[in-house]
Amino acid sequence: MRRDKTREIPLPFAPPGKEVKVIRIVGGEGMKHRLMNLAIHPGSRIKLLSAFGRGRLVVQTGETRIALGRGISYHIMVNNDDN
Amino acid sequence: MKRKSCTLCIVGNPNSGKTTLFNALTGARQHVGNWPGVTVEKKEGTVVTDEFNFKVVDLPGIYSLTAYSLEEVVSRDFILTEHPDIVINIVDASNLERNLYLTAQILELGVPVIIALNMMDEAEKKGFDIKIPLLEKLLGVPVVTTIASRGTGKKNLLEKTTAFLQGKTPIAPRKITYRKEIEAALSRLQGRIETTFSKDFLHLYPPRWLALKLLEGDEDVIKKCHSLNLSDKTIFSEVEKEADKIAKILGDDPETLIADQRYGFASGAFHEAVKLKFRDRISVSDQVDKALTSRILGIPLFILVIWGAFQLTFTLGEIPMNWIASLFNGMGNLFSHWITIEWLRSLIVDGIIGGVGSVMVFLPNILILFLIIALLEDTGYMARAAFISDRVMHFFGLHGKSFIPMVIGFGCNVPAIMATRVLENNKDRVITILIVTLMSCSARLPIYVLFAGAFFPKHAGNVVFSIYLLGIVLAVVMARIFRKVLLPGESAPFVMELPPYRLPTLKGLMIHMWDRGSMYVQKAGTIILAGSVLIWFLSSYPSHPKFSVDYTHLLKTENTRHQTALANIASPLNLSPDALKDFTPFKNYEKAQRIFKKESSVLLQKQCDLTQSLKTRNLSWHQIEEQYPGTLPLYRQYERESIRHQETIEDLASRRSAEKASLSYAGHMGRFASPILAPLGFDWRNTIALISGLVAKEIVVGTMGVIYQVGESSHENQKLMENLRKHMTPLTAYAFMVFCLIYLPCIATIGVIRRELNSWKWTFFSASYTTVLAWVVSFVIFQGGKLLGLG
Repeated sequence: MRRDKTREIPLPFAPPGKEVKVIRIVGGEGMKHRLMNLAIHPGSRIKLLSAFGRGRLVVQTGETRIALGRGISYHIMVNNDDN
Repeated sequence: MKRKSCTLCIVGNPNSGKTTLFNALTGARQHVGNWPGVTVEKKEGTVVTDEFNFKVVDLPGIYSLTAYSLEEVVSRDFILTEHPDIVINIVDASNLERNLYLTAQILELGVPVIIALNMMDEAEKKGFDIKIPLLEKLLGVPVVTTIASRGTGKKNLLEKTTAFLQGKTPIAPRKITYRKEIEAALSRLQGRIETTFSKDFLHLYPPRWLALKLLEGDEDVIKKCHSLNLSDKTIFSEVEKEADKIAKILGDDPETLIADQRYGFASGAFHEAVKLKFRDRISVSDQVDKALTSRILGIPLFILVIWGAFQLTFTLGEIPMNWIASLFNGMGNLFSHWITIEWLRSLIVDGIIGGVGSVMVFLPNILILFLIIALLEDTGYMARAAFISDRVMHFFGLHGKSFIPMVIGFGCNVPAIMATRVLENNKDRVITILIVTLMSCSARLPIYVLFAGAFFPKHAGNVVFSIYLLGIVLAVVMARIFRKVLLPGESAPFVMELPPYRLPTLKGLMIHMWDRGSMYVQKAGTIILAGSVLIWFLSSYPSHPKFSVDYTHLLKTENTRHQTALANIASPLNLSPDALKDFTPFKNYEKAQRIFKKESSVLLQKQCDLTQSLKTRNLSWHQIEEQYPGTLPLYRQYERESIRHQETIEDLASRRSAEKASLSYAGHMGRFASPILAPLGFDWRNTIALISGLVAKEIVVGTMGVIYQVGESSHENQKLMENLRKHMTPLTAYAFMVFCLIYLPCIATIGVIRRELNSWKWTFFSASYTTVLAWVVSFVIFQGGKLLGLG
């Protein structure tokens, strides 16, 4: 899989309400695993539900709603295509 | 008919209704403990059917079966090594895809599984049409639909379990087939594993699962394998070789590839077995969340909820509090009537009933607070509150989830410290535990109520509030210091599932409330009981100390003086001194006086004028005087003399008790330690009270009562306040309250800190830093106040 860096953006910059695809997780195994547990992993689709400011978000993946702190939300890189 | 014993365990995601199902199955027959050696909660219960006697084990809520968290390791170890007869995997049907990720891993363990497809009602609301027979075929295990909150499907679940256990329906879990490169590696490794490990080991850990875990690089499994001291260690290099090969061919490490494929399996099974009848995107839960976690409304609503919780706790709690207080008072009176042996009576009435009673009085408050907390947790708001408070908490070096134990801490520190288990990162946990004791638990409240009532009657509410606030401020300041100095490093990033809002079940709420509340009752029954007896002993013995003054002699002198005075009043009336109290005009005067006193106390409370009432009394007195001329002046003398006599006797008694207390063992201890506390303005009495408070802070008030030798009834509470005012100033009282807030938490809390952190070092640190902090803060308040001229 080719990774085009210009097309990925950190999750907090994604447009709210739109479904985006996770490209990769920038972080250690522990963080990857914690996100994996909640079905956030490369390839999964997530939707930004609300932003609480400073990178703190509520997102939806599948049927689950997840709150993310700023320490982690910037580590999730998602696709940035407008199609 | 004899029933067979079987073990059944429940495993599933957090928020999937696991505990609800467990409660529905076992009802009240459950036992909460810890897994041996670790602080993961273990819940066990029983359920009895016609054929079987099931032991039900509720495993912790988990998302997968890796080695990343203690809960996951505990769960899979239980399933593999304890061989439960059946594993019930509870699956949230309304969130099926993600829940199946755990299911996929449970199926890989190769143990018999039955799926409890829970929350079918919510899945239907979301438009899910789940084809159960198809799902059963895809997973290879029976699927039973349930709605645990209503108890639906419980019978069916037990029937399916019974059918399997009686050998009627075999269960053959489907296993995931991985990509051919991985499968090839697995089968090669499996061969090596079968020759390398002992039969016993492979009986516990199936070879294919071992191969998979070794390939994934599972730390716990690798550690276990290493600890076997294998003669042939080539297996480890073999695993590494295979992992490298896969990484080279497929461009990713085996762990990620395997996890991806498990998700693929879960997703595939979901999409095949579930048809969406309609799409209901904007659920009520979404709408509510928009408001509750929004930037503008989130924080004010959060503050409102917490404020409301405390209001409710204290206003609702007051009513049953009074009942319990009078119950214990009544018990005390009853026993003091029955028991004639003086020391035994004192032990039971003052020591046991007084001590335990003063603690049990707070049970309603605590139960209400825990009920509200259970309500916040079960509806799903607590997760939001943690998220909302994360930012502020983060600033102070804490974690959003630290918020939950801090709130519980206002009820009782013991369950609060146990609640720190929600924090994944150990540093976050240590810091939270260290500062939770600064949350003023309800045991400290009676101290504030007494002192604020005695010294700041007009501003009692504000004074008590300021103490609570001080606790919170100190907690966040200390957290920040600990984070900077003691345990530097980032707190774990905040990731938390926000469960959909749900209507909690009454049964669930009650069980949650009682789980925590019972710890308080246990504390009252054990530590506080023992502590009360000890304090009673220390303050009542030696029973006949050498007094500085001969009180018996003084009492005799006073009685003689009184008799002479009465004789002087009685002689003009030609009466004996003893006949005075039955003398008709005196009785009439007294009656009028009584009526006046009663009226005036009511009027004083309403702050009304007394003149009218006084006039009425004088009028009746005048009438009596006309009837029996010359008796009024004599009656007034008699009245003054009676009051004087009463006061002198009481004064002697209280001087005697105070001296007795000061000569008791506790008095010696207090005087010995008091130089340390003298710079804070505390005398030996305060010191004893503080020492007794080490057992439990509830005891401080009781000890004050014992030292000042007043009982516990409301009238005597007034007397205690008066006595306190004689010995302390408002400034020392405030410093004392502050000291009580901060210093060493009670023994029960120390015990639970030791157990939860499994470290004497941190336990000792917690006990000593709080005491030093208490000294410093009280010193600053007392000395600073004196400098400002407040002393």
